[in-house]
Amino acid sequence: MNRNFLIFGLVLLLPSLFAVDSALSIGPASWALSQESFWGTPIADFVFWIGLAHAGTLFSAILLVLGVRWQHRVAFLAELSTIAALGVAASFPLIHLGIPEAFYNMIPVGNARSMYVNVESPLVWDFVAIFVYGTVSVLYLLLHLFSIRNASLEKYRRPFAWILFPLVLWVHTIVSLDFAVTFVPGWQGAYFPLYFIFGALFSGVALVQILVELSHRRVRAVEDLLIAFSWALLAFWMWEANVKAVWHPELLIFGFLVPQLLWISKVREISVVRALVAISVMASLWWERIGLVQPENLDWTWVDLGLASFGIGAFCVAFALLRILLKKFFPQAFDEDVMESLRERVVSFERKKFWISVGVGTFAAGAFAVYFIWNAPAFPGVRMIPVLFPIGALCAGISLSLFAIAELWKTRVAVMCAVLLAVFAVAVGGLLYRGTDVSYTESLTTVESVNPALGTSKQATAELWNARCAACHGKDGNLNRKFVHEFYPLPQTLSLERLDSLGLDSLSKVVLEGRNYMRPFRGRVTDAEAFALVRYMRSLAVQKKGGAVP
Amino acid sequence: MTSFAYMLAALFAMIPAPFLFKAPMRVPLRGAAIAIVLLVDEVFVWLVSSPEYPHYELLPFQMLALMLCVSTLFLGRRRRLYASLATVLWLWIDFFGMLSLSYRGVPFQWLPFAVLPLAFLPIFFMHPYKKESRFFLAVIWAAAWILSFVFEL
Repeated sequence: MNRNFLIFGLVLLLPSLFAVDSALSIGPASWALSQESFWGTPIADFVFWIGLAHAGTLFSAILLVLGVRWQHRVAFLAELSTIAALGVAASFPLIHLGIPEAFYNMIPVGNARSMYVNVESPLVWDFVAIFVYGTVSVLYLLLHLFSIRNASLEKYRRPFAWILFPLVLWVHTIVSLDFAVTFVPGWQGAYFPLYFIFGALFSGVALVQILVELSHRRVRAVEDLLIAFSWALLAFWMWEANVKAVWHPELLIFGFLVPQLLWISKVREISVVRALVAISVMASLWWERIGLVQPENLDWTWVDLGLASFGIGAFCVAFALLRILLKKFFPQAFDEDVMESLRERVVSFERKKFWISVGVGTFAAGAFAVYFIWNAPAFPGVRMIPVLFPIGALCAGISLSLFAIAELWKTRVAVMCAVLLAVFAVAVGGLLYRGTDVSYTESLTTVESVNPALGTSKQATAELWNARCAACHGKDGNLNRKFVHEFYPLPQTLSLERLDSLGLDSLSKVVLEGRNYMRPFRGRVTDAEAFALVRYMRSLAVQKKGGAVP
Repeated sequence: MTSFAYMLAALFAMIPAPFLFKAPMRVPLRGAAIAIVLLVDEVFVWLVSSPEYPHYELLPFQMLALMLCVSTLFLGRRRRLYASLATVLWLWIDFFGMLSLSYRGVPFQWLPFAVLPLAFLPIFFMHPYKKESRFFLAVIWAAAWILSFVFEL
């Protein structure tokens, strides 16, 4: 299985690297992009792969917590698929950013770098959620692997599963909020959190079904779950058709009707049919994400197809490599008899250590909230909650892992690990605080106007406005609400009255020096250009009010 | 949406609760049964409410959560665990639903959140299998449902 998976993955991955290179060097212009939403296939692929990454947690953590005994049979396979899918999923937002080297700007460190990182933005929530989910999933997998060797660690699995259970649902809820809180009407859905969670679990179950078939095994309960989830998704699709008048018959056919074949026992006995049903479900859910991100028919480029191929190829390669690597160090994990015997273990639940870890997580989340509110008091606290739980879960997971390390080796090893982790965190924190040196091609003090007509010609000033200001303030002086909303709190409307009360000189200074969330533009525009821009902004405000342009 | 329709929704949601987990059922059948209940709730909301009501999108899922809460009272085992999970699901739907709506200008209501955990706490102090406790919990959940409408006004 590993070798075939690796070869299949490489066949898809290697050519697709050209698409990734093109996407990174050209940016969003390289893929099909809607002018209404500005989001393309990287986001659709991200939502799809992060959904698949939920399989491991569903089978390993959620079913463990709920006391489902057959989960041992697929837990390890699903956990590996989670790590591989999560790695693939994390690469797509970086491609979507266009500037992956500046990804650290999504880390919510308040105003520490004199640049406001908006914790109201789903981009920041995404980063925190994916990072935490990835870290905690790796810790959980390691705990699972070591517990095979050392039975005493088994008692930490259920407490850890209790941390992962809400975390995985939280992560996909946050992914749904990427859409639900925007200004694009088709994306606004208050029911999206639950809808996305069920969609993610459905695709995760389908992925595990495929992996089970590829490993020449059969777990009937996974097939049952596939049918059950198809019904849940039917209910969501019907509601979407009612609320948004969005209707995709192809989803009903491939995502709902095809899984119903599994009701027929003769058909269900055929391995190829079971695999094809799971593939049909995955394809329909991928298409659903594409339809959600790009509601109108767009002209796809080769980069769009390349990115889809990159996702599948990278997953297969990562999954196969993980299996090869772990088979070397943990061969027992691949022995079905050993894994089957695990369920016979009767283990206690480490209540005390669990609650201590929950306390550590709660304290960390509380400290973060206090720090952030201290730095940005105007910030609406309720919109910070999406990042608080992942931060708490991360600290609780690390704390529980340290207890497990102390159990596996010695207390002093755990203390040493904690110290090393703290040193690492401080070092990374310091790097983030410092940021990277941003160098503009223009000199900060002797900037020359690119176009000598700027400041004198209205046409030239309009061009400068479109280049420097329109991204946030809009071409017509009305806010580019979608863009601003994703990154910053909405500022006051710059009406004619407000502009006149502030004064042109004062506003020119704001352009050059920055204020609140407005970045300083000194070094990128001259003093004369700043003044010309303010005058142009005023002329737009006059136009908006219906008056003659002075 | 009128308060009468809202109360009717609570009653309607609670009807399938005693039957859903009573008999042992295969997973796909149970999944289909819950989904059909949700579909019926959707039709009910479509009939009695209008999209102008800010919580219109959430209502069938809130009904589902209420139904799951009440249905846990009829479980043979692990009633406390599943009742807690069902209440958390209800809180989840409400919190993230309202958070999404708050970005569209609908004011975020904190009071339903105060009410729901209060409705959920008694299960830890009461005997989960006594008839009186079950009745009391059902009444509390119904009260939480009605109060959440009152707070939205």
